[in-house]
Amino acid sequence: MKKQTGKMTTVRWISLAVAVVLLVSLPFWGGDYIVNIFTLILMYMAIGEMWNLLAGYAGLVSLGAQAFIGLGGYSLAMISQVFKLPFLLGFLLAAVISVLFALIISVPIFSMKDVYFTIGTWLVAEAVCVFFQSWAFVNFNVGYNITVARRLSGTAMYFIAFGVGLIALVAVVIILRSKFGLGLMAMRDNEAASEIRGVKLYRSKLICFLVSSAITGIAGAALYLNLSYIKPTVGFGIDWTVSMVFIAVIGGMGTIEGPIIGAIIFVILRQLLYNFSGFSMLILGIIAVVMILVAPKGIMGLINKKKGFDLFGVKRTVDISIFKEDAETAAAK
Amino acid sequence: MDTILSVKDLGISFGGNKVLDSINFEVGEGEVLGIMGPNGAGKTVLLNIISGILKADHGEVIFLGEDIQKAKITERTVKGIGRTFQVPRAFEHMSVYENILASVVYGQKVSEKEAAAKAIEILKLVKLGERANEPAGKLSLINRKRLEIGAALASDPKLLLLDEVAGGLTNAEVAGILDIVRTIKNSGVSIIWIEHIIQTLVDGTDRVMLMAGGRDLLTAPPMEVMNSSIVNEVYMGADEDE
Repeated sequence: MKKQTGKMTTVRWISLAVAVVLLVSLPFWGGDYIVNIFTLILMYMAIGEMWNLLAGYAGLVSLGAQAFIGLGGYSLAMISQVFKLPFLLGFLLAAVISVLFALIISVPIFSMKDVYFTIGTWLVAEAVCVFFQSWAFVNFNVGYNITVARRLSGTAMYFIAFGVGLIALVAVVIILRSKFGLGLMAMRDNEAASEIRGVKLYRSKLICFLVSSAITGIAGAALYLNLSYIKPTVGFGIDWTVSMVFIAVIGGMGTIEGPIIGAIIFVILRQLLYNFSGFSMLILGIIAVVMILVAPKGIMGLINKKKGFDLFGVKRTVDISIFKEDAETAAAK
Repeated sequence: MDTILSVKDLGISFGGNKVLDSINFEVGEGEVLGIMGPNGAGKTVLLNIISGILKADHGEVIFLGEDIQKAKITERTVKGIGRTFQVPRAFEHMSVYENILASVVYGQKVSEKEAAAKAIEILKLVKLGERANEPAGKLSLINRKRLEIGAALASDPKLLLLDEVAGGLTNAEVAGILDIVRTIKNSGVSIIWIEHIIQTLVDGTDRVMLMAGGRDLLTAPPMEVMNSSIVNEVYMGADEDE
């Protein structure tokens, strides 16, 4: 049973190969500015994909994803600044700490439904922020300069962002192409119906939460390596989650391609609005609201409405000629 | 005929309002039990209790000799209870094939590879093969109903709960649904079929249970129920002789 027609597979693989070649070679032909822009796009794409995995597939609308960005950033800062260990270990610690924290908070958080879950995640992130502000071990509200960042070239930072983006994308593709992903897509479309068909909702949501937390933590480490400074109010700031929501909503929730498109638009808009910092979030908010009203399923929703689009081959198809043959045989009888 | 499902003294209230009041019935292996009754009789609530969506206040639901009241919804599906909903609940953005595939994978706890052949078999049965790659959200009502039956069959159920699968369809479409239900019955699956269309109950069931006000008033062969004065009382609100 083939999963896609041959033609689609070829087109898909060529598209992906071209994208990978362009991205890998970018630092060798693109200027510093372009490389920096793509560094941001890749990192924002990673966190957008992770928020989308939670909200778009598992139906868990979190306003507390910044907790994992902050934990990731602090993991990197502590490893490199306090323990003076190779900074790459910070990424590993970011994933481990984020998963452990997600596991601990999942018990109370998962007992909350819908909007209470959303509020609960936000309160948890706020609580972590307050705790870090008064915790001597993490240097209170002063935070850390991440000095290792100054020794990194733009190209090195780009490839770290590329790695993080790749991890996020590959994780989502692997999940959605698996048996687990099939249940996740069913859950996305109709939670109650998926349960009656045998999908275990709690377990599926927990797995999504853990994966999303781990990779958001890793992305948080990369984002703060790029920013080179972290303190609680910024690290655990809700602006991070607002960015993720914008990326997923604009691009299209419940699709892999949506956050890629959303991240590109988000980063470009942020650059265009750079000189209007006070208004940039307001303008982004207005754009998101207009988008929700005009195209509630985002840009990918519009594309899918016109023509089915499946760059990463997560859609399962069947050769319908076997049914036609059966119908013809029956008619002949 | 062995009993596959036995419901004893089943009752549930919502905020002091008795929705089901001591329901008792049995379904035999390979039997089709029709359920009829006016709106508010408690028919769908009964299916919700059997499938695990609602918990009864009292009574027993014995499926294959085991009280399943404490079993979760997913456990009941895997044990062999499949169900459809009055308003079809398809996975709208997934294709027809993916809808069935996901339901087989999770309902039978098998790999996608193993599920593929079973999914094709079901698509043939519900006559949706040629629409297999279309998004479920774009299907017409009749095809949504077919998909709903197919998804319910995906767990390889021993008991199938059908909730008004013929509702809102034309006569020709109802005949098509009736054909599918007969094929399912002939494969040995027991069926509980809630329906308002009298002809489907007469043609497609072995016995009919008449419900009203949360009670089972009469259970008998279809024609016996249809000719009973109780049916008139329930639907017309008056005795036939009056």
